[in-house]
Amino acid sequence: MRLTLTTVYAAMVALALLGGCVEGGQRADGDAVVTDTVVTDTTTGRVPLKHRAAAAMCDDERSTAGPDIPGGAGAPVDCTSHADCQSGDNGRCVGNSHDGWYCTYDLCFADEDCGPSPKVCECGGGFRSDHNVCLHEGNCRVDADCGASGYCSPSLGSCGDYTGTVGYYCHTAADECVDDADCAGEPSTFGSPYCAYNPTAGKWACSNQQCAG
Amino acid sequence: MSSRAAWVGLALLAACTADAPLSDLERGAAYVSDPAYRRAALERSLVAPDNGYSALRLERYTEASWGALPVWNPRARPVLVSDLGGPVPNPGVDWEPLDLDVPWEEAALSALGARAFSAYPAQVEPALLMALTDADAPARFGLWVDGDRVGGLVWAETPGGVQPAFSCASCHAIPRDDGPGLVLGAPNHAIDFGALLDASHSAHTSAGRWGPGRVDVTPDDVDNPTVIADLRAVRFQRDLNRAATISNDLMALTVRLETAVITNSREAVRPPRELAFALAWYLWGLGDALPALPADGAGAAVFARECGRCHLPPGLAGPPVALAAVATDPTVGESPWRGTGAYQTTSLRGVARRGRLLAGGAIDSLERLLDPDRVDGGHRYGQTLDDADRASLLAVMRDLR
Ligand code: HEC
Ligand code: HEC
Repeated sequence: MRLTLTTVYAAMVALALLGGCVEGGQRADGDAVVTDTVVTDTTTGRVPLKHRAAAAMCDDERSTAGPDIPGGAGAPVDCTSHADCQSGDNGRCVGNSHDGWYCTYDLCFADEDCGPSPKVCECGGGFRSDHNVCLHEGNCRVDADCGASGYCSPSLGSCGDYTGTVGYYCHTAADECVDDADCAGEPSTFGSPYCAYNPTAGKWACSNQQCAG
Repeated sequence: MSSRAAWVGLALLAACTADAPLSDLERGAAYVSDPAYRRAALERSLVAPDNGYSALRLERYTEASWGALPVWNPRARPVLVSDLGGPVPNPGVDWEPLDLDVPWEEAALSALGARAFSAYPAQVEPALLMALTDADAPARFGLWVDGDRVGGLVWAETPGGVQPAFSCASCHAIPRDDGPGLVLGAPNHAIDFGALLDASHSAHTSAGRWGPGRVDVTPDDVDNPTVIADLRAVRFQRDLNRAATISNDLMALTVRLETAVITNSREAVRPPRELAFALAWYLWGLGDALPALPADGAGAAVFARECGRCHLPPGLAGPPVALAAVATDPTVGESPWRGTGAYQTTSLRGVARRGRLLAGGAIDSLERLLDPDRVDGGHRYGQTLDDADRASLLAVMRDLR
């Protein structure tokens, strides 16, 4: 059975009664991710665990470890050292024996580097790599884009945590879930169900990893 | 009462009373109106009830589960060349859902299926915005432009706003090579959906390595991109999907299409059942236009000797062949999601228009498939022919367009 809004609201009310204020957090890379604050919201009834209160500049720090490329790697090797990666900002040679080794660069430092709203610069959001990347999907950059007491949260796509955050979307009263925990009891097909923006439904809903096709 | 409702009623009556077998359209009407009928069609069609594809459907293809999903027939309009580089449009007065109230008759249902094939938002995909950023963007991802239409894409109105979506024609149609217009049903072996996903997410995932014309359709944690099917030949396939997941008939195809729209939406919506049947009925008819193998001549004789025991005339398809026997790359067939231990013996009707051959798309031409020097890729049949036999075989195969 799908989680009904009534269940969600019941859970939210319970949480709201129990929960006071948990401290907000700042990610090491500078992107503000607030963990929990006072429940003031009227749109979703509950503050999502992850939401983007404010856009922050991303830093230009990247790991200098590696690359540790084993001899005779079967996957393609486009670079062998960080010094090989000179055609962008903060190049690093990254990879693994499944995906191969290739250069990655910081593609942005601020949302505006990615184009008009709602494009977001995701700090350290690279695929299996710590470079800053542009997210081209979504419908908000920050909570304020979602109206008074609105929340703009990072969403996984159809391929679950394999691809990581694919965009930021507003929560609305139509949502079937707010956080992944709301989906724990959902039937699963592959991996654990998670709470993500469903672009067909036009709202957040529990989702099973589907990976295209 | 609409004529559709009347037909459904009649068909139900027929299903309950008559001993005579139902006509195709009566079957379609029974599928629309009778949950037990469509459930039985599903159960009959699943070749390996234990694989993920089957297990999911056996669990959820019920009235209480997928049957209770909202019906998806949103207001939509085609993506046009004039949209390229512009903002996401707002719904206008010309945005329409598909008109489903058609007479339950062969021609009317075919026409509805044909419309739906390129107008119905079969799969909403936000990443498609990356293919619409400028005039050159569609070509970068292998989307065709035909007149004012771009890649068969449509804008669909969702409760959360307008989103770009694939229609069937995005993956299953190609431009004609002899003038304007499309070959509907032929596989678009240029489209690079994986590259599009990676571009939208600024990522470097295995999707970027699927290659044009292939999509990893299975949530099984295995990289097993599968070649896009040639739907013109669908009526001739003994089984559906390269992994031979589904035993094919008109009802099996209908249920396959219905459930594909459901899973592509991550189980958020279901298509109108009239639409699923109309699409299947339309596709069923596409085979009529495909040339057959000539009855005699040198090429036909070579085919009969070397190929005809598996690719049976007239459909040039046949029972599935064990993965080890055909010896092509087994990755697609081994999928715990769609796999059955064998590959579909794919119909060769229309084969000359396919840019990619075999389940994983490893081979790019008939010449290469029959090349005596080819060592990779399996399917060794016909590789030891002498030059004259190979030439006459290739000549008849090239006419299968
Ligand atoms: C994003 C690309 C894409 C879109 C959009 C798409 N398909 Fe497909 N289709 C595929 C791929 C890839 C396969 C091969 C799957 C397999 O063999 O397991 C396929 C296979 C099929 C098959 C099986 C045919 C056979 O001979 O085995 C049918 C039927 C089909 N598609 C119908 C449709 C219809 C109808 C639509 C629109 C409602 C549609 N598809 C939309 C990519 C797509
Ligand atoms: C033992 C059975 C068998 C024989 C004999 C056989 N084939 Fe096939 N053929 C198959 C199977 C099974 C596939 C699908 C393999 C896959 O998907 O990897 C196939 C695929 C093909 C394809 C690719 C179709 C597509 O759309 O991907 C072509 C072309 C083809 N065969 C041509 C021939 C020709 C020509 C001959 C005779 C010289 C021949 N086959 C003999 C079983 C056979």
